[in-house]
Amino acid sequence: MTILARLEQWKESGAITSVQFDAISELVRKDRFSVFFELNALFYLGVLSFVAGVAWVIQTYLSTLGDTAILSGLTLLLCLSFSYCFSRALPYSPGQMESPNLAFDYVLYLGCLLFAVELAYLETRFHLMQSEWDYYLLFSSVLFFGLAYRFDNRFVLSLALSTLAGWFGLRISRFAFSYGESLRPYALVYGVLVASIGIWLHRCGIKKHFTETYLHIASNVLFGALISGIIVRESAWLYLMGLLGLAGIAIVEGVRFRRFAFVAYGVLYGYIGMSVRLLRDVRIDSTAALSYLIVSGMLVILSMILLARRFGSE
Amino acid sequence: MLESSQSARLEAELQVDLRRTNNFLRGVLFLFTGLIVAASVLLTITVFDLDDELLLATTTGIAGILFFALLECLVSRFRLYRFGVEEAFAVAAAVLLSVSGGAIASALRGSRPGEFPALVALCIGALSAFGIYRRFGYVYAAFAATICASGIPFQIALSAEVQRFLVAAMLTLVFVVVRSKRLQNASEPGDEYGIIQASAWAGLYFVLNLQISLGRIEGWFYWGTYVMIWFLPIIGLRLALRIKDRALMDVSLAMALVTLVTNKPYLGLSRQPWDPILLGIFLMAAVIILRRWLSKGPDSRRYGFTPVRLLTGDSRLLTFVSTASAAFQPEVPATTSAPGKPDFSGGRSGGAGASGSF
Repeated sequence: MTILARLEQWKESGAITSVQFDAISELVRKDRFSVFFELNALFYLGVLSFVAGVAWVIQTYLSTLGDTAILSGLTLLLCLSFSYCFSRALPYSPGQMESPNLAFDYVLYLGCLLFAVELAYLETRFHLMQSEWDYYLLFSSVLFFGLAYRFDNRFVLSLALSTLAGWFGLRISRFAFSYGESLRPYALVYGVLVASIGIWLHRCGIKKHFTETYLHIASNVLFGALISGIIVRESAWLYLMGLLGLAGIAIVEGVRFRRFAFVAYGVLYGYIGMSVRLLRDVRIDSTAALSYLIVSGMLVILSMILLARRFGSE
Repeated sequence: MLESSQSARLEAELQVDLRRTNNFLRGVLFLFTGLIVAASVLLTITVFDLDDELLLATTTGIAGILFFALLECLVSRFRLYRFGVEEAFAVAAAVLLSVSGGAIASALRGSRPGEFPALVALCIGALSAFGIYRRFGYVYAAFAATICASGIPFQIALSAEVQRFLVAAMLTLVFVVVRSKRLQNASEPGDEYGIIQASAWAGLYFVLNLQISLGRIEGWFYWGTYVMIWFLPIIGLRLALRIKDRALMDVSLAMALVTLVTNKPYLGLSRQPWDPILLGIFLMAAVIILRRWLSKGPDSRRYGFTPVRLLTGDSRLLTFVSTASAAFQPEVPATTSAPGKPDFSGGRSGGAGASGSF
């Protein structure tokens, strides 16, 4: 049966109204076809390309262009971006806000990235903060958090979170298991801090739709840091206990709030951590290791099937 | 469009007797089943010390058939549908049968390793993946079959031009056949033909764009491919816009972008620092103009296209992209004048300063 035939049947049985039938069948027939996502994706790529080009031009023509030209150009673009956003913005609301137009979110994102370029340039050329230069990252992240909340912009929120990670010495794009000994405590503090801020703001009712962004980033950083601790031999059991505790929380809360990505994090990271610890002194192609993988894998599958049966395709 | 009570009622009416799960649990089940399959086969090889190629071929062949039988049982008896477990068995069956075929071919050729085992493995891989697609409808199996089949000409002793021509001809054939099927079944739910068609189109572009597929070819064929990388996105967009085919439209847009990015290297020109600026301005301007033009149409649409978000799925996708963007911030050059700061050994990140220097 085609979708249109089914809709017709529902309309005749009174399950949907004629207005609903018209609206849905219009989408099914593609009489109304949204290119919303494509336009957003192209704008985002445009902003990234533009900023990357600006940084490349500055790097290449530093001596030719001179400080005045570079700084005034960057400042002008920055002012234009931010003035556009402040002049078009809707009043602040702690709930979710729609952007005034498609370009708005990306102009703000562009402004933030240009701000970062300008700060980096200022410090490189004039050494204003000397050895304390990393406070630029803290300052930038505070500014980006403010802008993300003022204008309800998830791209800027992600930028704020990754800039804050930079202040802690972390790189979110980096493979998390490679956190070194000196970096691991910072990663743990960062993860706990980000998760706490996200949960606290959620409880305060401020931009509740941002909470998942905080929790995704925090849980990946925390799991990565704990696994990197298990890989290193010192205090491995301590890290393993922490990892299993966190995995348990992720699974229980993920099921409770129907956020199955966190269930997946808990299962995968928990299994990796446990296996790394148990198979530490065993060759991976040995009978013992392979038997462990089969038995433990089966246990995970059985528990996942029980969970999956409870929730269906929800 | 629908109230929640209505949705629940309609959803109940659409219930089928299949066992399904959500994508996250499906992914976890797929990974762990794959792990068990790989560990089981390796354990058999280790325990029975199967270092002979024919024995290895027999073991992997039997395992492939066994996993295929398990897959069939899970689907027909336990009614699993996109559940992860049966999908992992399908992938395992195809991979193991290919390995088995390759090992038999290698054993028959004696000790001389060459292209023949890879050719046999790819042929069996393409056939078994296609069989799985036909039987169970997994779109990625059709995709895998196309990739395996595309690899076959590269295992035959032919010139690089002929190899690429054969692959391009095969992908064009796949595109044409699948497109005709798609047009015939346009009113049916799902868009598997659309996805396969778009994949074949993307594969065709990949094979012909010698800058991204690293082909070392010169002369008329090289310039022929240069012409093609401009024509393919245009043709794809034209075909996609005519029937509002999202998969083909997105693939063609991506191809157009890659063409713009690889144009200079194709012509042997060096990239300039301002190239990304021009590309960025072009993209932003194109989006703004297109959006305004569409918005100014009656009911905010022209020819059925609208810039307005219609489905919650669109904003969910955007939420995912924005969250993932934390890991893909552009590398903004940062200061190198940072003496005396603690060595965090993990690099700096974020838009407000990454590694690198002016």
